[in-house]
Amino acid sequence: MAIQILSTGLQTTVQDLGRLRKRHIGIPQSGAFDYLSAAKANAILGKSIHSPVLECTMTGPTIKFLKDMQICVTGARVSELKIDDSLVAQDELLDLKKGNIFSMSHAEENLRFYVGFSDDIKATEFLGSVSTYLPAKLGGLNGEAIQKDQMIDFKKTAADKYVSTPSFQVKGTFNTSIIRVVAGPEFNLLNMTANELGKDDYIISNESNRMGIRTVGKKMQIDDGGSMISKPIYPGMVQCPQNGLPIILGADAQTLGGYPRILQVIKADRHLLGQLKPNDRFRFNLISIAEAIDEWNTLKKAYPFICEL
Amino acid sequence: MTFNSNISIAIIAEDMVEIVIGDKDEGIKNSELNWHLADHLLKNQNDIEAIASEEMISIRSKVIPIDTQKIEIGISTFDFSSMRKIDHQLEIPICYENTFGIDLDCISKQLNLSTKEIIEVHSSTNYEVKAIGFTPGFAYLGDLDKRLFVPRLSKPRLNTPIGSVAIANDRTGVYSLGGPGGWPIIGATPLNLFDPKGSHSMKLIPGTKVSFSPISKEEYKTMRNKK
Repeated sequence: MAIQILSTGLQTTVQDLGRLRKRHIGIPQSGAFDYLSAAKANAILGKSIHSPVLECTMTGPTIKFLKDMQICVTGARVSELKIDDSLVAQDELLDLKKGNIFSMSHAEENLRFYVGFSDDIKATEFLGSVSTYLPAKLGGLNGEAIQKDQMIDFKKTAADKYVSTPSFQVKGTFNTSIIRVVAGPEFNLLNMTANELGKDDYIISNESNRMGIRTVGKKMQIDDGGSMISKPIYPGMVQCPQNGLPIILGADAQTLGGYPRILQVIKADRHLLGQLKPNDRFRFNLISIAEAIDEWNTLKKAYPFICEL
Repeated sequence: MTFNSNISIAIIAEDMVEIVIGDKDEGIKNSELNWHLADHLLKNQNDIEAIASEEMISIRSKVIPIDTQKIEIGISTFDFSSMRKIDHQLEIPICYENTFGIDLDCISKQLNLSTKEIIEVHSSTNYEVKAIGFTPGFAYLGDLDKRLFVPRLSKPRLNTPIGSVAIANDRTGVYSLGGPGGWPIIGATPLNLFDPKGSHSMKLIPGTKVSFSPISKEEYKTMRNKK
């Protein structure tokens, strides 16, 4: 056994970059919601970006280390990270010794933070990924969020090359006040121009989860009648049911859905969706596909490790 | 045998396209063709995701911008005769009692049909899998009898009970998992349609024939406890 969970945090799950190429048989992708931060933790540790991490939501766990390991915490700003009683930094390699207690308090802003480890978390693999998919109890540790007093096993990682200074921008906050989108296939069902779309604030509902981010507040005008044939869905699509309250689909998004797909979050902003927390306000900014391509190239330059995503 | 028909490929995002197959040979159903073509495209190209719905195939590419030419080549190498003939049949027991059919009363008012009539119509129709997806183990079954057409809920439910049998428009389906769902619920099955240790959601693929057999609450409990 390598670590022991002393307290769990709100919802902490094992995630990697998800179950790929299985949507045609109805299996959602899952994986780290803010996959850029998850990949960053692994990149700082010098590991494959596909290595499993712990995804912490709002509040983090307290972990007792039963063996020496290096770790790295990325993602939402955590108000206090401590090894025993000493404060330590985010986005840096941390040396944990056998017997240390590592505690993470809560996200100051944004929602999810990630813990990468120099060794690999031993978790259940299903269809090529250890990502936890809670609705079907797939992957992770018995398909569930981590439990109090749980012992988590690790195995040596295959490649153990460590980078001293990562060649990418390490610090950075998340600007989630603007989510950039392209028009979705059913955009024309909205009684709204691109201009009108960008003027309204949408507020994140506390009924949101890893499958979908629901919104409250401004209602969109939609003409549909609830009678569309179900259509293909990916994370980052925005559906609008007849009640006019858009839902942004998350990492655990269903593979088919029947509410109109009015918008699609551009790839360069999809990782930000994992950082939207209840009561956050944001606006949509509708851009062209050509601009979406440019934005992706810009992000790729800042974070070279995401090339393989 | 290959395509003799018009295929439309629409770019819907920097990394996504949707493919709709127009005319094709008699006797080939779009629902089955789309699923097999999606499967073929995935085998052909390892940097894409694919989803088949009744109307279309959707592709998401790792590479940006998405290379439509590569996908066109993939489509051109698809051989219709490689489509597996689907001849299996599945009977799904369903309990329509009110504790399970939580929207039955509401639908009964909406449709001006008694719950008894709804149950009779729903359980006497033979269905076929038109698409698989949504969540693991879910299948879109059709066609539902016209008399039972109701729209989706205007606000999707947050927690659909596991095993719920639901209807929406011309389709019916079983919620194999809990969680959010937008279809009105008329009953529940004790069957587990998603077994991660078994063949995933592959018990049902487009073309599979499905029928529902009504059971009592007691039978539901007995079948449920057997597992």
